[in-house]
Amino acid sequence: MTATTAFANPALPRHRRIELLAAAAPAALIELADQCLADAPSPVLVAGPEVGLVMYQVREPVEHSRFCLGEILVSRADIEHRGCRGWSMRLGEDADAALAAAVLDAEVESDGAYSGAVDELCRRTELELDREAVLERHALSATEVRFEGLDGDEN
Amino acid sequence: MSSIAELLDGRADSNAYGFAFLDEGSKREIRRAVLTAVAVPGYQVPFGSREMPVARGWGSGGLQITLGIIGPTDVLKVIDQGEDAGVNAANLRRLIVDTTGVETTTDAREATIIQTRHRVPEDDLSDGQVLVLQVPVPEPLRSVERDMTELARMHGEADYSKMWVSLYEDLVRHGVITQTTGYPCLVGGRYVIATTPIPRWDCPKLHQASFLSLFGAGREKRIYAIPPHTDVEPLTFEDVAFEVERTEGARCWRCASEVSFLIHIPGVDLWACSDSDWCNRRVAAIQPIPQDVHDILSLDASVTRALRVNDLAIVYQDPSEGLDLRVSAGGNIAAALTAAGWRHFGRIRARASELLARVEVPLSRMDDPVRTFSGGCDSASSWPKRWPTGRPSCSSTNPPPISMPPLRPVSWI
Amino acid sequence: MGYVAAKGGLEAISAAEALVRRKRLVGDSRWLGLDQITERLRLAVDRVMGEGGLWAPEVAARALRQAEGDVIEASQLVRSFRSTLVRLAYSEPVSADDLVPLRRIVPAYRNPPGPQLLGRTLDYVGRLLDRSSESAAQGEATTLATQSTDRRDHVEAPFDGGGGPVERLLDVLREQGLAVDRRRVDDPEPFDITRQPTRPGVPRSARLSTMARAETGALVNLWYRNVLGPDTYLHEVTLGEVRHGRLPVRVKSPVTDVPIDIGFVRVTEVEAIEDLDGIDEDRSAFDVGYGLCMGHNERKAIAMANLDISVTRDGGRSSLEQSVLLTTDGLDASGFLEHLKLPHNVTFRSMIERKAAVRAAAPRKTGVVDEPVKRVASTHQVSEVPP
Repeated sequence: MTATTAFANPALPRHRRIELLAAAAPAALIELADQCLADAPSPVLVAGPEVGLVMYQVREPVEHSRFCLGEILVSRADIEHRGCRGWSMRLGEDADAALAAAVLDAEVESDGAYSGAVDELCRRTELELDREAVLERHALSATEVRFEGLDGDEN
Repeated sequence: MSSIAELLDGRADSNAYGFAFLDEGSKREIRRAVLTAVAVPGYQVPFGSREMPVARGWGSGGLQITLGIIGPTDVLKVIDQGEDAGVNAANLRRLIVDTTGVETTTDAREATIIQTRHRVPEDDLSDGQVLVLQVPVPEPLRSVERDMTELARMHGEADYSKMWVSLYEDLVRHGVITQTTGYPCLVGGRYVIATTPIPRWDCPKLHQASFLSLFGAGREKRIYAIPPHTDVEPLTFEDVAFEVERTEGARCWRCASEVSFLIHIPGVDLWACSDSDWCNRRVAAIQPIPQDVHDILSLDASVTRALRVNDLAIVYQDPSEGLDLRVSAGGNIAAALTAAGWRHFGRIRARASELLARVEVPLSRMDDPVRTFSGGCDSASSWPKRWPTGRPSCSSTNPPPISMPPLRPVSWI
Repeated sequence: MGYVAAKGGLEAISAAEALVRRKRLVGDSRWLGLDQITERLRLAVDRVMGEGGLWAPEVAARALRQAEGDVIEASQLVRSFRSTLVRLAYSEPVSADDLVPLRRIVPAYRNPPGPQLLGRTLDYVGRLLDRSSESAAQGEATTLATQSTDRRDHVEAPFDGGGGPVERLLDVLREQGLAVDRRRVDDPEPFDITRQPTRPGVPRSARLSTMARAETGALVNLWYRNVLGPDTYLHEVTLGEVRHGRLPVRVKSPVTDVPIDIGFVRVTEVEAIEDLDGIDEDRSAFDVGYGLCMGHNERKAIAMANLDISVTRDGGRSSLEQSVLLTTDGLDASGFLEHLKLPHNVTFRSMIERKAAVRAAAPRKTGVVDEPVKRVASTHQVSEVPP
């Protein structure tokens, strides 16, 4: 990986990077984070990594008011790496992956040598998500009930 | 110079549970509810109630309180039906020990926290001890009212008339109050509580107790408390006594106790203490119940008389030794009652007639001199005499198998 | 002092536990992997997440396996696991309009705005037990796997329908002036049932949360006993929306101003259209009840939506609200029911004692005493009231 990859595309906004790091495969995150950490001082663990709960709020349409649907299991890491803060929250119980994602976030923030690789990982993840979404829509579209016209018998 | 694996190495095993299972925020919430409950004795404090690693209805409320208040130096006792070895007690104890590492004991006097289902230990607990009661149904008024809004109003206005009417109806229809366990009690003169389903036998132990009682209802999400030195009055009419469980002639087949809550063993028709550890200690006599032990046969006459009035009755195998044959059957009973300070004629008559009825002496003969009774009858009438004031008793000719029963006041009988 | 084992009970429960564990872990079949459970027993996993009140497919699968397939027991495992975890945050509220549908039907119209998208459903499949042999089924699986690979090569094919937010029927009714408008602008904080107990009179948000994690069977039964049973506090509704789809999980981060979507949950959503026929109600309009629960569980969401509008219309006049709030939790009901298996010898002894007392107090009625005795009314004054 070279830093040139990062300049090949417009920079990812940070929030989008964190979202994609939350979706990336754990093995890829940890492998890249280990590379980032190999030549750097150990990161400071600000909070976590820890497994905890997020209460999920939904705004329902009838009264347009919020209610709590239930809780969601997440892993969170908040760290400092190369003098920059890195943050991650991912679904599920995987503190390692959350820590790795936070390191990668900070790697980009601190303009580290692997920034480009992190960016590359994010874009690969995004492509994969898009691809899955298209596949899914494709499979679903066949199940749509289609009518010949709107002048048919109602009910 | 590190890796993700190294950074996480040495952290607490993520599969292990933290001290006392619950997360710290939950424990804090439980302790706050407990403090509120102590501040307002008898008031049912709503709390979030976490789901526990036991099913709801299986002690989840008591477990939350115990885990919320327990510290590493606490000494724990867990009982179910008075028994340490009960299956659910064993499971709860194991859960608490596995997540806290605290010491356990079966001796109620050594425990700092006693979690219990359905019983208060027979031992006199002291201050500093906490009794945690598992509560299935915290609402004492549920039997008379289901609507929660109305229940909230009734407690808020201390309007317990529906409960009183139910007691009144009970008396009219059955002649006794038929409420069995979980007897409703007025705490601190303000709130009526459900005394979990502990037997009525245990209710007086909560009155002006030295220990703190905490009640946890996990499923219904309520915590309530009886702080030490608080009045706990079983609901009853002024002229209707609160009656605890009692079966004539019942005594523990192991320790001979008649002054503990006894459960029946059908088939063999024996009785046994429900508080198994208290009973074990009496049997083993390792640590006798901390009261003086006397050989009453060696005491001088005045001491014996005082004992008979204040502490225990003596039943003579030969009834003529214990009865005044010139006095009526009722009078024989009245003797003991007046000695104990009874001054209400109607009540003494009523008590005597009630006791005689229990031993099937016809009330029409209550006023007949005992000498006119047949052998079987006068033997029977000596029995009520042994417990007119509710003292424990022993037989004069068959020495007690272990020692004298504890000479502690049981005046609520 | 040390650990004093109270013998008897402990040994027996340890042996019972070991027996369960051995049967579950060893067995005669191959190891049951979590991926098999999440993939092939999807609806069971969804139910455990919904009734456990926790979105965590792997945890739910693990619980289901440990509970030997008992959904309620698995939900109990999930719920108690939650109790050990710290609450990190409340999510940013997500509008139900953001749902990306995997299935969407509108029974109220033939041609609603947006698709009638059947999606992954068994609704229109004959309930015929699949009796194909194991080898035939595995052969079919291999064939299907190849086909799906083929499809992946043609994903660029044009396609329409599905994939994005779809206008909900409630909005269509509103546009026609047919729906009572109950939209609020004050945005009250939602009631958190995991932190506060509910009782009648709580805000609607508490009711929705309670039903969202209620036991499916309890909601279905409560619905049915109001349709056909002794309670009559509910009217059958027309369904507007029945949806299954994804909602984003959106959280605030300390490092960005923009909230972050860290993933999604799958939910089932239902709009129930209620025909208003009360004296003081607007006969010219409909009202709508709402159901939303985690995972794919349509019967639960439908019952929830119908019960939601019924409690709203009932306005606290009947016991319906209390029934919804306090009798539909699977853990509560099952746990309390099963606690009857625990020892009750103290309470039973006390009951027997009172039976004897009643007999003694009323010898005539029971005929226990041969010689009837005229008892004075005060014979139950057996002793002084304790001091």
